[in-house]
Amino acid sequence: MSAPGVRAGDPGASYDVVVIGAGVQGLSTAYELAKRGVKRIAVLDRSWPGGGASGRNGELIRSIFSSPEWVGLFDLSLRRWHDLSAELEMNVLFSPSGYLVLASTDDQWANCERDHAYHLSEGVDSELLSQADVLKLVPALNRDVVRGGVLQPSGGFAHHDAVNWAYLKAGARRGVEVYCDVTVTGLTTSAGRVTGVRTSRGPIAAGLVLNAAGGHALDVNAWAGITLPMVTSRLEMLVTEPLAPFLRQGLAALALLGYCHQTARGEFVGGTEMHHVDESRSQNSTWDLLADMATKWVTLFPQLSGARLLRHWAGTVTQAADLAPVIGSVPDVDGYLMSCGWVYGFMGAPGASTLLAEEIVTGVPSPILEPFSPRRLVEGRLIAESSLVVPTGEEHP
Amino acid sequence: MTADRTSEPVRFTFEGRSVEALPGQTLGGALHADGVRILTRSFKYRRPRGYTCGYGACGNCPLTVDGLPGVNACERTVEGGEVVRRERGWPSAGVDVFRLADAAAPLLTAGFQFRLFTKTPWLAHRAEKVMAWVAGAGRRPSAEAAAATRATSHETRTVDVTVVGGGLSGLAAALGAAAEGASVLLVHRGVLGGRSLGRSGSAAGRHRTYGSDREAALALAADVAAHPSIEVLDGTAVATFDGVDLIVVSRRRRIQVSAPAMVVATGSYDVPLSFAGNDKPGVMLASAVRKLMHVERVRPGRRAVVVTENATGYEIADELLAAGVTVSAVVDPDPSARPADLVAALDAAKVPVLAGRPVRVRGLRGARSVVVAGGSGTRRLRADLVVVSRPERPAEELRWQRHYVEAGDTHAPKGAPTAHATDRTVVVGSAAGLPAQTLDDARDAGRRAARAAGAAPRRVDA
Repeated sequence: MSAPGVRAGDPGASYDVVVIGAGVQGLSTAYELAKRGVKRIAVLDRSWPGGGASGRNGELIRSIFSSPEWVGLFDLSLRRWHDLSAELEMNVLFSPSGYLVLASTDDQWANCERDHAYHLSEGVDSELLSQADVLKLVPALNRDVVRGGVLQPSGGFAHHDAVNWAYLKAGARRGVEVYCDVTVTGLTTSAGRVTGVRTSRGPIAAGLVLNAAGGHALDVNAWAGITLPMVTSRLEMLVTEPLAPFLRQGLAALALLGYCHQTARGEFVGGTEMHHVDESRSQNSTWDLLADMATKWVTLFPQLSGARLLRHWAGTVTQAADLAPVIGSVPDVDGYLMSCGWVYGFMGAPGASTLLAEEIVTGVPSPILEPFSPRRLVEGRLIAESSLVVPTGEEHP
Repeated sequence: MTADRTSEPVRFTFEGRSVEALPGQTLGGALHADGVRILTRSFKYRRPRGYTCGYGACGNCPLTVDGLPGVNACERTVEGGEVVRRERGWPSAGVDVFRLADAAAPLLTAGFQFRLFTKTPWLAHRAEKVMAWVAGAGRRPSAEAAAATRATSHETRTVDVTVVGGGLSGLAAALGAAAEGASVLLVHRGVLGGRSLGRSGSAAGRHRTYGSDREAALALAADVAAHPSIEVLDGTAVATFDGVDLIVVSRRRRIQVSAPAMVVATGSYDVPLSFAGNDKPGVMLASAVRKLMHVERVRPGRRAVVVTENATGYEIADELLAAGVTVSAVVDPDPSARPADLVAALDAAKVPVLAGRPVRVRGLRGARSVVVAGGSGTRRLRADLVVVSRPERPAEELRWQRHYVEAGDTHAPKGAPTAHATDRTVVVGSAAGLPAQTLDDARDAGRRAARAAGAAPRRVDA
């Protein structure tokens, strides 16, 4: 497997930082570390860059969440998105065409009103839209499922493959070494400290190991002797053949547990979820979810009826009960950091990687990242965030 | 289902005019007979595209039929009364002003969009809107067409063995499984026999009883149709999923199939050759040319050049001559590697065999000539038909899906798919790679699948 920026040959015997997983978290953090002068960085992946959830997500970007923790992290990330193409010297096709959270019920609408007021108080870009406003913005929507919504005009979506490539190449230019087809099989430890990784190509010593293994993150934690209340689950999406433009914005439909957008080329890309968490490590797609997605999207956009599917895919994530990322170190395990538990990882990567790299280099904890620390799971402090469209195991109203 | 050739020709409307189709003919065949060469335009450069593979694999012939876009012309049998138009191109697929994009190709190389406007995000966003408009796919079904695609029946079917693909090997495997006592569901899109119907000869040793692959396919298809424990579904095998063995769409029926064992008889793809202009209308793959001649009953061109890397190209040259097509030359990088009798037969017909390779196909709206490089420099040969014949590539998508589902993981194993065949998934025919298995092999594979499914020995119920 060769991609621009991926090294041929075997990794070296020792690095300052070894990142497990060449997804968007691992690649962006490696890039941000290199940018801050860290010299010897290796990123290892068992398959190809972006081969997991980083290349299998909904590509959506927003910061209009309902909690200070989420808004803090994702608003920083949103600002990074606006400069990302220029900084990485590649057009990642970031499309700031707006992100609409669609309310279908009175309860959801009340949440939108409350969230919007909060956004204004925090200076977050946000507009409250009535039913008529939403239908004017997206006339293709089925009015029966539109009660209103919150729009973030500066939100939108980007091309996930382009983002992975851009971080990969920008990191490579700064000396980051990325190796693919290298499977990490364990960690080496000494006196409570992680000292390196064992791989299919031999052991590698590391001053610091970063677990950015996405759907495989729990394996890596287990090697470090860390048990956190998290599960691995499967998410699925579909893509239609190109259609005439009918949807400019990124869109989350709370009532459908769904999120979607339309690419510049015309493909409609959307994912939905059921009311249960699909605990699975399989990347095989399922018929039940395909039927669920098709039914919901045709309900939301009646004109999708009869459209042909181009693709249907599944990806895996590791998630905590609050669906918030798990970033940072755990007590009593030195030399080991995690950036996992990502469910909104694509949109969060530019911000989180910036803060995490800064924290690693300066040793000063980031107040924005602190709430997402693994410690919260140990202590049972979950982040209450009500504007997510992923199932939390409970029936939505 | 077999083509009914006794009934009368039918007519359909193509972009405002009436076109005749022979009974059983597809839109692709009828339009070719009518002289329509450009069936669509390529997405970015708007290059003209025409009949290429003949079996719905190349994406060069999607038409809008009765308001439903994306219908492959080569696969849709004309029933009469259809309203058909082409999709891409402005003002039409025949004359497309955006063809100018092709002239700008050096500026619009693959991935050009990732290099544009990196420092000027607002311009990038504006450019994206322009691209969306030019790409202008806009292929949305009409309300009536959408309603007509909606499933009217959701069924489940439980059988011992499902066979995907009703070509020669799939037919033989279905008969083998049934002979072992299994209940069999055979899924095939279109006329049973598949590409075998276009083969008037036979690969050496595949079968002994029949005069040709075509005769064999017709005979086995009749046996299958008459067999009480084989059900034939004319439809598309959509995919295998976690927990669902197979989903089949057959017109307005959706069928969820449970079957302990599957025979993958998905056949193979013709492989194109890389040379300038290899996408122009008139450049066709081997199976497509045979289908036009032997199934569609259409003369594929007036003057042909056959570009070949195997013996099949020589057979096709013979068949073209018999169909009244002038063959300017057979171009082969290594004629000495082919059976001497085939080369001699062309010699006798005064068809030159050139040791060489094609460099470029010329012609604005379709092939008019082909430039060939050989031992004595380059020469230009007139041809409105350029046939490309090369060793085929197995159609292994379903086989891999089955593998991933059985393994519970999508991390790709190395090696050929046949190496991963299990008792529950048996791969037969050209889907298992070349050289093609014999029919006895395929029949035995069907028997194996039946045994893996635990099929009870055949008993006759009153």
